[in-house]
Amino acid sequence: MRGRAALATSPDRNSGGDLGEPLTRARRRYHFHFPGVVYAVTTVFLAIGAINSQNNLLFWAFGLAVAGMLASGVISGASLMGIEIVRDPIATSQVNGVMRIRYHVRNRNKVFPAFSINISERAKQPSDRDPDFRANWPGLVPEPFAFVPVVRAGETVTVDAVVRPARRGAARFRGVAVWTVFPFGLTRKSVTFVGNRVALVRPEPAERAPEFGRDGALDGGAGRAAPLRSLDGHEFFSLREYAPGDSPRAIAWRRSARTGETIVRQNSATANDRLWVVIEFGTDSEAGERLIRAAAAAIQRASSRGIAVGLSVPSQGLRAPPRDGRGHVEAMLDTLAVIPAVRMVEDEAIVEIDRPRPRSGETALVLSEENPSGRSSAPESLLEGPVAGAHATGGGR
Amino acid sequence: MTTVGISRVSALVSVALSIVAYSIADRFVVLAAAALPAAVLGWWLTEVRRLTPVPKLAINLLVTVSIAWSFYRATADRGVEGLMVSVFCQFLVLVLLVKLWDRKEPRDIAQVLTLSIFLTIGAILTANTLGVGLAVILNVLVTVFAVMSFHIAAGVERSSFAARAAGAPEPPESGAPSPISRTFFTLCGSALVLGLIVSVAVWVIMPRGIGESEFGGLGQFGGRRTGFTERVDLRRSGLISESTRAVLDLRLANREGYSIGTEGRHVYLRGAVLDAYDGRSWTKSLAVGSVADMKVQAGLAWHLGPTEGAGAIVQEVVMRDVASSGVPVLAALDPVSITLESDAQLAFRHAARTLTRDGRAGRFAYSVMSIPPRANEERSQVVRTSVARFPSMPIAAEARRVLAAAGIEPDPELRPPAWDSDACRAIEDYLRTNFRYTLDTSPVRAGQEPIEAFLFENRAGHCEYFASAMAAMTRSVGIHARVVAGYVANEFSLDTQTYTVRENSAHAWVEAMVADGVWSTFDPTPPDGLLQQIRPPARFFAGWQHWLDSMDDAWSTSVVTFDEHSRQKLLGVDANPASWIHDRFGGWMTEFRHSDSRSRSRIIARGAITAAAALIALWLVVRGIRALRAWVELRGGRNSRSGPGWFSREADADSRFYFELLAALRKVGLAKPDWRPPLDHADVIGPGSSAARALREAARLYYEARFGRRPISGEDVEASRRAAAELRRGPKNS
Repeated sequence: MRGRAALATSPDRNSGGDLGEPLTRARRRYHFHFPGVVYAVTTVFLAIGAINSQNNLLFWAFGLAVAGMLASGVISGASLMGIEIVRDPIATSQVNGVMRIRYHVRNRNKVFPAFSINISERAKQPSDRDPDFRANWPGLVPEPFAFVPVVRAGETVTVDAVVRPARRGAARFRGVAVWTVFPFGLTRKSVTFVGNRVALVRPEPAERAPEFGRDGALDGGAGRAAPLRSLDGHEFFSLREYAPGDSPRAIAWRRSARTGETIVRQNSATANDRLWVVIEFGTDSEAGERLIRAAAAAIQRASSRGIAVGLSVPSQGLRAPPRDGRGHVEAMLDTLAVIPAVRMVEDEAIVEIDRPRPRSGETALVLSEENPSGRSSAPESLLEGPVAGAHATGGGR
Repeated sequence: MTTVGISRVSALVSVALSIVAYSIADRFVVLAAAALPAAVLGWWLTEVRRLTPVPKLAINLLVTVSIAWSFYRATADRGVEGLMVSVFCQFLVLVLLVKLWDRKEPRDIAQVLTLSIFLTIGAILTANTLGVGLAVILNVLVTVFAVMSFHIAAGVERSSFAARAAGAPEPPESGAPSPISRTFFTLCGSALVLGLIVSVAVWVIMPRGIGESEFGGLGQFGGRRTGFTERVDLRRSGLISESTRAVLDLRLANREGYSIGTEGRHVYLRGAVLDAYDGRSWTKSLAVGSVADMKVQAGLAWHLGPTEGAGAIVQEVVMRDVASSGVPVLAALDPVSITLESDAQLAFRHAARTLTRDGRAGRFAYSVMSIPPRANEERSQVVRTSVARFPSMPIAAEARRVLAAAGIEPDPELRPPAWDSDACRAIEDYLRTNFRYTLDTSPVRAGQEPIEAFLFENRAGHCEYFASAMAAMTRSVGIHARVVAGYVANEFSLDTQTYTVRENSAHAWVEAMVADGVWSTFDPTPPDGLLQQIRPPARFFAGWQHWLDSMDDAWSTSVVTFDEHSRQKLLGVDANPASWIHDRFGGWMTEFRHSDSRSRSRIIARGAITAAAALIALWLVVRGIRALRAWVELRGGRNSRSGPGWFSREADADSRFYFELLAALRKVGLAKPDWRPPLDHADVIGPGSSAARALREAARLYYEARFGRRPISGEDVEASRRAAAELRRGPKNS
């Protein structure tokens, strides 16, 4: 009996232990780059010119060039030596959204301020051969970059690197390079800090969520935001602001009194409001990505209507039955962030084992390469095999 | 003002100061007058008014034109001393101006600052005057500030750009405390103080006199030009300098050392003797006669003729700032003996009785003795060995008319040689009394003989026209004559007993051969005009002028002419601690210079092989250190493996085969980038290849294990490992 894949857990909700701990300082390096080469060559020529011509101002210019190197080394070395950095857990983001990586830069030096501190994530580490953890963010997000103009002695400055993720996945961040070319740009001095952090990039929901449901309970209409309503289940789902049409019986009086705003209780859906989102991947990864986007849109839409939603990817052994709760929805979206976009198990018999068998009152939205916009079907039809034809009009791109 | 604004303004100031420094060094005031407004205007339009910068095509075109113009100048005026530095600096100014009209991204600001620094170095290579020194020092202060603020501004701009690209709102700079604050100024000031201390220390410690001129003209600076030139071009008017800059100090003494200078006594200091006329300009004759060259050591006298005789004049001259080569050694009358303050190469032209000096640019001090010509020559003993000619009928007719009017026989065949001196005096008087002195000369028409234009049309001009006219008229009546360019010393200080000679004291006069081998000085320039030209500064400005002269002299003495002797004196040491370097370096260079081409090739080859071996050794050491460090880190990383907490390690425990396959792919050059899914990578490396098939199979197993939590059979793992092993052994495209 093989195991079944569980839903993913977002790392930013699971990393309280290392919150606020400084990253480990790994190494300090001096990089000799092009401006430094030009400077060095100019300095050599100044020396030769001064010796050859005995031009005293050239001797002084040579002295200035040497002093520039010295001052550069002293200032940059002293300022970077006291730098300590903390990287906050990175909130889950989505493709084309905003990923914000927050750094706290502390200057432990009691005398020297640190100017022009550049912070960037390292794409490669010496220990990247370790298969357990390798930085893979370059394929998912542009290079995160943050800049701190000055951190005075003993001061801590908080700064964000803001990027727009390009692909979904689990972006693994391995280390942070803190570097500066201050004061004269002769060399690039860097200190590498090592500390693992994973940030999930969820798929961008399709612009038009697929239609689901044949009855009025599920079908809110494509592209329309169905108003939230008080559901007739008995299990508490969440609190939200009062909207016109809400029953006065749903008002949470104590919370409303505390906050000064009218808050209503929202209960969970009944068993009739349960939806399976089923993704049938094929071999085309691009089509698979479209299915993932459509699934994300369907999950969000169903969730916003208070429908208990579940996720099933039979070809990857993933089956999460419909449940209420925001955590469940988040876990499904997180899972969509990391699953491969292709069929992983070829054996149809094995796949069939993982196909959901909706019970009475449950609806399944099947997304496949043939029907990327999805089809809703009765449980019986799912058990009978693929259903031809789709009546949904929406779909992911 | 924002950080970016402060940085950019300081960069503009740095550019302006570098242009000023170069303009002072090359005495190119017009350049500064034109370039500075153009720079500020370009800056204002593109930065303040935010107008569209000049299109890139136009920028490239302008830079190309600048390059072409510089190349043309470098080739057209080849041979002029300091030309390359001058052309290069003017090219830098042009490019800077173009860049200031261009867009201003951080990279452009960096380029502007770099060009500005190179222009400042160019100014140092051009001249070492007090003005240049002050401009350079000021520019160093501004440039250090500009560079430091630039690196902050560049980071601010880069982070703003990154935020915009991500669609996030830019962090408002105004809300945060400006990084250009007291802390920044403190750090900047500390860097400057440290830099100045270190630079002065290096300046003092660096031994002087070692390796001088071993690399040809590299780094040689032009020094100041003399106020006169060795070419009197009569077609180019307005070249007489009116600058009051002090050029030299002169003390006149007799043989016993007593000062004989007096107020009101003018001393003609001969610089260049110009005896060839080509219808347009006077130059040195190519047939210079015999030339004596001598490497004269400091303190040792070089005798050029008999030093006995009455009326010897000792002239102690300090030229404040001279070029490195071809410097005329100024002397009143014929020099018979010379003593230098520092070693130099001297050349003595017997016919012209002039000296030139090659040596270090900057201060040049010497003492020269002159003996007046035979003043009491008996008229009966005067002989004339040859008769001069001048190819101009109108000038000859005019000269004859002047002599006839003075009652002197114009025909040299009939005139006794003893009367030649009177003939010269008559022509001198004629020019002094019938012509007007002016610096505002009219240009000479094309095809017109300039001396004829002076004599018969303009009847006014400056000293060069008067001297040229007299030399021409004197030659046309059979008397040898030549134009002499130099200075007239007339500003005498009773306090110091010295003459201060300024640039506007440059003058031209005539020497005529009044007897065989005896040249007498005549000055046909009207005395009033001459005095007008060389008058000392007005009394109101005299104090300032004196102060500036003192500053200039102090700068020249303590900085420009700082040498090994001064260095040892300053450091309080008696011996040059680096003399052994001098011996070895000098010996090596001497050996290299004097060796034949085969030996030179051997020396060069030996040096190249040694350098290559050193580089290879260095490379190996660096590689070794890197490998060692990577190995240590790898070990450390494995030992401290903790996992990210995302996928469990148990899931990976049986998936080593997948990473082994990836390693095999890496080895055969088909490395999978981290960001690319394995199946996509299989498509990239070729769907039909065995590598792709192996990767697909391994990925399938890996996914099933990882996502499906399925146990993997040992056969599958072995199959994947076999595929990896085959990959390692097989060709890349297997």
